[in-house]
Amino acid sequence: MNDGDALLVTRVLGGDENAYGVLMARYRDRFARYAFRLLGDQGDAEDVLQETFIRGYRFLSQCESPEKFGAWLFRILVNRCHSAYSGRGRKEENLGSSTVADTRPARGYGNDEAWREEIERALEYLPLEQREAFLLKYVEDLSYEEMEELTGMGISALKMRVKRACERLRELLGEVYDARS
Amino acid sequence: MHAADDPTEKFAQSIGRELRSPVELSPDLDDRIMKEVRRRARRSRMRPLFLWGGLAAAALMAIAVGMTTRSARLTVPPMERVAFGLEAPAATRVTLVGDFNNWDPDATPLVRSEHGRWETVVPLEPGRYQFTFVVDGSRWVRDPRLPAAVGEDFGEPTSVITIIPVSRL
Repeated sequence: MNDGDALLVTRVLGGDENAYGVLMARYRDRFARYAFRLLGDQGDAEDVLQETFIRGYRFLSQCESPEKFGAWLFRILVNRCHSAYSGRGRKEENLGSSTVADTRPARGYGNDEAWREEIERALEYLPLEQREAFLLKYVEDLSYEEMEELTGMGISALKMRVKRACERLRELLGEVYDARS
Repeated sequence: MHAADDPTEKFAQSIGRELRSPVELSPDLDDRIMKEVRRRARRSRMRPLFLWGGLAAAALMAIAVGMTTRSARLTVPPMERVAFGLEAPAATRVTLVGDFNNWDPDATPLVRSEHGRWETVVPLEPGRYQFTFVVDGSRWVRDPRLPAAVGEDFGEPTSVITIIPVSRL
């Protein structure tokens, strides 16, 4: 809960659109991170972010619990990410089953940035639903109950998605992870 | 084994930490969003002015022709009851998402009727809306009877519906 959000929402609904800029600044980095990690493309992530904030403004009067504005807007973001993914024709499904090691850079993974890029690339090998579940659990740090409320999926299905995502990531990144540990 | 000692859990936590690093955004993104927000704010502030302006003009006209002001009617868009339906005999759940319900997949469930047809009725103001059906929680199926939305913020699986007031038909 964030009382500050509730006050800002009231101000926006009263006609102060600058207050919306403050709300946006609070959530943009977290939302950008989620959209980029899920969609794997900066342009797509920015489009989704823009749509999310504009829809949030447009439908703000429908936010029934202004103190939970962040959670409400995050739900819009998750839905918009689904739309963006559907709209681009599920190109990720054609990635096949090759491993990340196939494209290992010559500079190796000692460098943190190169390691992160490899993780991002490995994420793209996961089906959307597994990627989403993994990000919600281990990056956004949500509980399974919160994930259930957000996605509408049952807890056991979400646990299965997270488990499969972990297994696949371990398969793709385990060798390098073990060497770095 | 405690979760913290589970190697898979430790691996997942470690990957999650790496993915929490910030991502870079275009420097003008905030400006673009706020410009659109301000444009919409201006538009919504102007709408009541048009409404009151229209009412005042109607009242003056009524006086000019010797009528009582009670006969000057304010026109407010009426809500129309719009029926949505999808043939999906194998589906176990169908919901409706669109501009009118903030694309919330839980907001508007359809009811299964005979022969596998799913139906619902939604009150909508006249206007143009994008929408689609969500089948079994994940599959997007657009209404094949209506035009597909193109060139806006959705891809292929959405349809467009334009609601015209019954009084104008």
